[in-house]
Amino acid sequence: MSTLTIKNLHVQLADKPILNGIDLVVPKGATCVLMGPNGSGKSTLGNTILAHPAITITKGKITFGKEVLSKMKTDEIARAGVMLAMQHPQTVSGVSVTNLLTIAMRKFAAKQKNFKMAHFRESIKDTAKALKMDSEFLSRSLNEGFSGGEKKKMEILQLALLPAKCVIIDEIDSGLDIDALKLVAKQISKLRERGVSVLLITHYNRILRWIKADRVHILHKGEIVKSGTDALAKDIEKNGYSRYINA
Amino acid sequence: MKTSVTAPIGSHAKNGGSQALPERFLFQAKRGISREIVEEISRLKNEPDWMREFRLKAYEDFVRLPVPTWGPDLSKLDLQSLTYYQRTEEGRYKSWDEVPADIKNTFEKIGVPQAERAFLAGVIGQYESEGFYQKLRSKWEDKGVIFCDTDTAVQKYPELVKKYFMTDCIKTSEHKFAALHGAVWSGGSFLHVPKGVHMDMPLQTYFRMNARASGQFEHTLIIVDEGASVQYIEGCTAPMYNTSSLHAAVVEIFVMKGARSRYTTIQNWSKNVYNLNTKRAIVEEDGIQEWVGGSLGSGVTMLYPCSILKGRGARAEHLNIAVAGPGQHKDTGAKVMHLAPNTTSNIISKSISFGGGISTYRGLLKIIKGAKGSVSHVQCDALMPDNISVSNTIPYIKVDEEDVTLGHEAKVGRISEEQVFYLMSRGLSEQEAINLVVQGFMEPIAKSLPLEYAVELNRLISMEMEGSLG
Repeated sequence: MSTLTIKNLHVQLADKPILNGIDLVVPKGATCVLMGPNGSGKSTLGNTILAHPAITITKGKITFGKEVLSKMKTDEIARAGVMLAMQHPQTVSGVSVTNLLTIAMRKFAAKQKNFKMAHFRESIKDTAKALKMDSEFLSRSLNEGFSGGEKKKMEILQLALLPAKCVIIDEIDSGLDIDALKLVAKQISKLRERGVSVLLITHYNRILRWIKADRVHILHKGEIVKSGTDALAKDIEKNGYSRYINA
Repeated sequence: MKTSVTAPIGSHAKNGGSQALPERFLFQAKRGISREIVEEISRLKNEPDWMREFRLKAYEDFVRLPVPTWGPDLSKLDLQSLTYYQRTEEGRYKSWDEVPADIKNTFEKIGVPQAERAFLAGVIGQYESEGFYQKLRSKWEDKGVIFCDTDTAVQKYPELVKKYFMTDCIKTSEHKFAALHGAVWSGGSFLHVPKGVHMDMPLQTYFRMNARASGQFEHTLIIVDEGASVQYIEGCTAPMYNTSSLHAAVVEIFVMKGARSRYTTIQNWSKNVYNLNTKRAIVEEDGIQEWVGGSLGSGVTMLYPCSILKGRGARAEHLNIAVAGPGQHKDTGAKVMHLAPNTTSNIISKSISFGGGISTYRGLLKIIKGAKGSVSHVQCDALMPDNISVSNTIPYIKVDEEDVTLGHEAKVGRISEEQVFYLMSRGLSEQEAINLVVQGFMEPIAKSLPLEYAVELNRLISMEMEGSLG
């Protein structure tokens, strides 16, 4: 496992500056939380780490261990072990999550010893069960006609099964009821037990009831305006963002 | 996924078509079309008078009828530059061991003998104008199934051929290419499944055009008698030349009361082939006709399989996928006539246009007065991964009965940047991501194909689209 390091990152989206000099470190095995009001650039940061094609890095650098992510393509970044659970997952007609995971896993498995596709297919089923997802979701067109909550579970299912080393989880809590949120949080905890580092992007701190953050950062207008511990998140829950963003 | 049955649609070359062999003939007609050529073909085939007269009458229709101008541009098709008949073999082989090495190799490359051993009830191989190989497992022969090339059928089963050959189903007076076909037809499959016989293994025919600037006009005639069922598959390939060739086939299917027929075709003609076919089924009471088609190759394709739902409760399923890459124009669709009560049709048409290719769905749906309780659903989905390609939908619907249920959906989709990003974020390369979206798009059709065909279809499309995007 490696450390994710973001240094003086400046980013534009459609010629508009969105991130203005972000410095952020997610040490190996750590869980960091990125909070902030709507439009602060949280999702853009997640997408930037994964080299979204619409985003341009104008300055700065993103590294993961020795790998310079800011110079890599999306698939190379994923294969380096840095993955993203998206806020708005895409639908893919005619392709089930089992299809996708099988194809993706073939790419990763080349590096793994003793990999057995049959075992992998079993773990897909087991993970779905743990997330209380009906097995029909495994063979249906990916995300097509899924509810918001089902889509979110599907994202966590994929990250749980692929050999991730660092996961960025974008607004996983929106659209999930409390029971579903618990199940998702459990999967995230399992990832942490495996030594996977986590960057949790969230608007609310609801999920932090089940996941203990090592570090909390507040993003506003493309800059990190405050960093702290768990207590910072608690304070925001109580008092809102205003005292940090109107300063 | 690769089995011993490797490439049933001849995929070993990019850009449509496959490697050419040296041309070989016992006989080759002079270029061009004339009354003399038509007579000569009939004479060489040693046909009975009724067939010779039929051909000459069709020739008159051909001379009289204009080249259709309502569809793709056919002005560059020079009918007088083509060779209409070429025979390569004297007889019909019953074993691959007897087949001359060069032809055998071609068919081995596209996996025919292997497929025959693995899962087929019978096989016909056609090279240029005529069948050279035909074999039906004795199990089915014993049950009275007839499966031979249509020339053989004219000689051996004249009464059946006389009754069904371009009489009630497709007439030579319909359009110029049906007429041309009637005049110069050669080869094709003749299939008769007797009452109540359920064939649980598919039959397959492979058509191979190897000569340059030639025409292939095979005639396939399928009769599925009452309560019988059959699945028939065709594959077509040709090598790439710089001169155009013409494929103008006719397929006529008779689905009798309570019978079921599935006709599957995958064509991967080279891109200088004009592929102008007429295919139709007449479906009697409670009969089911399924058309499954994959159109990959050829330059210009015009093909609208037609189901005439003649008997009460008859049903038609049309599934088609057309791929139009650079320089290709696919004008394909479906025609369904609901002529009786409680008839059902379900049409799913998918097209992929890329690299400037043009694909058009052209449909005709007709429900006559009195066809009460009929149901029809049409779904046209187009996928266009770029901005330089074209997709058209031209559905024509004529309904004269009020008590019917109709549905029509048409969608044009693009492969979005977001979708590709999403799949790449799981570790797939850009090309793999695009291929997966395309595969997913085709999935409803691909799952109706025999496995080997589905795998090949995916592989071919991936190969065709490689490097043409982004």
